[in-house]
Amino acid sequence: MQRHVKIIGASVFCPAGIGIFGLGPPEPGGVPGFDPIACGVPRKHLKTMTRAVQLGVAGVNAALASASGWEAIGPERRGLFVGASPQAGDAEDLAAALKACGGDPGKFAREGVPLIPPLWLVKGLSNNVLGYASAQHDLRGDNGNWCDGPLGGAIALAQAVHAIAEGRVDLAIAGGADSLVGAEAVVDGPCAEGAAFVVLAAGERGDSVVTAGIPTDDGLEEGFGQLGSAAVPVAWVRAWLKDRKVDVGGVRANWYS
Amino acid sequence: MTERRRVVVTAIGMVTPLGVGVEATWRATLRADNGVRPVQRFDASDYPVRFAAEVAVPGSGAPLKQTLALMALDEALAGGAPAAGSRLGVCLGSEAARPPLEWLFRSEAPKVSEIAALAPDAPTRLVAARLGATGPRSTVSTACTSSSQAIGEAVLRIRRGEVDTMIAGGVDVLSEPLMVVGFSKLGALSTRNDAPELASRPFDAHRDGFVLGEGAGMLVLEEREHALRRGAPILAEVTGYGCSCNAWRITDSPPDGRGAAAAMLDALHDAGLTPADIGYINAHGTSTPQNDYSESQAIHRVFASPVPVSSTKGQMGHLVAACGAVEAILCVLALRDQQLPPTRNLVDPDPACGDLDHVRIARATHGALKHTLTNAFGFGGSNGSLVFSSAEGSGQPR
Repeated sequence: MQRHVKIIGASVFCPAGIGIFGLGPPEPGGVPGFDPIACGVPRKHLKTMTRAVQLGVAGVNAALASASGWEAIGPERRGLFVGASPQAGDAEDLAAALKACGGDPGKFAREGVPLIPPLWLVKGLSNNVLGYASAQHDLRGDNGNWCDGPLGGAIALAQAVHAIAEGRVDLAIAGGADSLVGAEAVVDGPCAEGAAFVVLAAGERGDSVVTAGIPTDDGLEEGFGQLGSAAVPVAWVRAWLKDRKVDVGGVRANWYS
Repeated sequence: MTERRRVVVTAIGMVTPLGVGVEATWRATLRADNGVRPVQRFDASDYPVRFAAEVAVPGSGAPLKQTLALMALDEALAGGAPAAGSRLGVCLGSEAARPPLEWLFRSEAPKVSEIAALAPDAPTRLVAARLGATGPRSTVSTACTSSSQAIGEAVLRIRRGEVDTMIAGGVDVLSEPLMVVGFSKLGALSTRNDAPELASRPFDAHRDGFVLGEGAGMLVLEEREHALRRGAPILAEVTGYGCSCNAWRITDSPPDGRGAAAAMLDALHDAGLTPADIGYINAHGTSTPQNDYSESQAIHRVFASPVPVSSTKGQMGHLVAACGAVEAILCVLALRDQQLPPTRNLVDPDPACGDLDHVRIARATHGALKHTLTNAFGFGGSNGSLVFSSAEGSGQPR
């Protein structure tokens, strides 16, 4: 027996802005005015978070802050589903080690390695949004982290809807985060950064519900350029905030109604 | 009420530090052979850890990762490939391949094709393209839990009716300079450089960390009636999948094992079984002081009576994103051959881990083994447990 699924909260961080300010025309670039501390990202973890992870944790925080009543759901029944990318930001922490080698890879072990920060590897984990946000909000239930480029966020959203519909969790936070600003030369085009999450719960017949049979990127907003794992969640949430109804390309509304 | 679609394993393939192929790995695992040796792939003489469990396949980094994925796939498909199209999907556990050290010293930026090859989903795309699979395609990246969750996701997709067949598994390559450095800095690796063959010793009182391993495992999962109609051999049934999150710390798990216990209970509930039904647990058993203690507490929480437990990481080290798939295959083989694989190097069981029924030499079960459970727990807090059940009752046992 499938349960109905409803959206009880949402967040969006994109180059157009944050929250309802993020509904403007899509454009490439960074998220203006993003302050992770102000968005509830724990200061003590900042040094082991890349920009994308900071955006992701802030996105989860904002989505949950916009929802009500979720705290009554037991931790084991709260799930988190994330689309993410490998965190290349950890390469910055290798700079001192590489410099010490004077361009000679043969010196790396002796002269470079001692200069690498102890938590360098942790900063590079692709599932850090899941790890940090689950700990911050005691989300102990079903979960997942998908690294499938622009499809990652779409898969996360779809799997979260299924998790609620099938009764595996009663609350699911789902979305994606990415930061490709600075990667323009590699991807050969304009890039952006952002995060968007929805808070899903079991609903009643007729509630606004979402899922995708097979995740699709048909609904991407090209104006952002490359938005990576955040692309589909940002499109979904912007559409939902505008219309309170999701109908983005191949993503069908009221699938379970 | 509609009956739940059942999911069976109809083919398997793997490459591990113990051998190329399912039977080579399985025989070596039962003999408790050693797959841990001094690093051959690069000059590790000045690194803090100078040994690993490497596969005997040429190559390194992303190209080796793709090679291993295809080798395991080819073995699994030796009896015939599934029909291409939208009823076939691919779900793999995979993490990003690390760039070769030499890249970091280059002045020019990496090419788009080089970046794409490093991406976690590169093996998934490759496998889907090889098979003409146009159904769901996804890549789970939850560190050591990746391929366990990938199998779980594949099972759920088949049960829902999205597809009839899924290629599920995982691949990872860890014997790389940056991986040795990264995990060494965290203090997660064994530093037993003078005796690598003794380094991976899950649940032993003298364990001091895990050993970097690598490999690939692939399973062909099918809806049971679909498999029966085409006369496919049924190796086992995937009856349960459980998933939880520690919600604790990035690299630690709660000492009381609550998250791991939740995943095991979830998998048992999904399978409609009780703890007493499980005849063997393939533990995550990394050989780190913290994991093995935490997992043992979780096992005690779930299982009132001792159940045979082993960790095959003693033989082959820690395959990280591939471990869930390879250890799932070992559970399938345990059911097939009624043999429990042992934990290598478990000489002095850690009393802090309590009274577990450790399998220290291969143990025959003479037809009594009906259900096995395998665990995978990862950095970031994701936990995955899978229950496999005997092919008996599922149709055409091989």
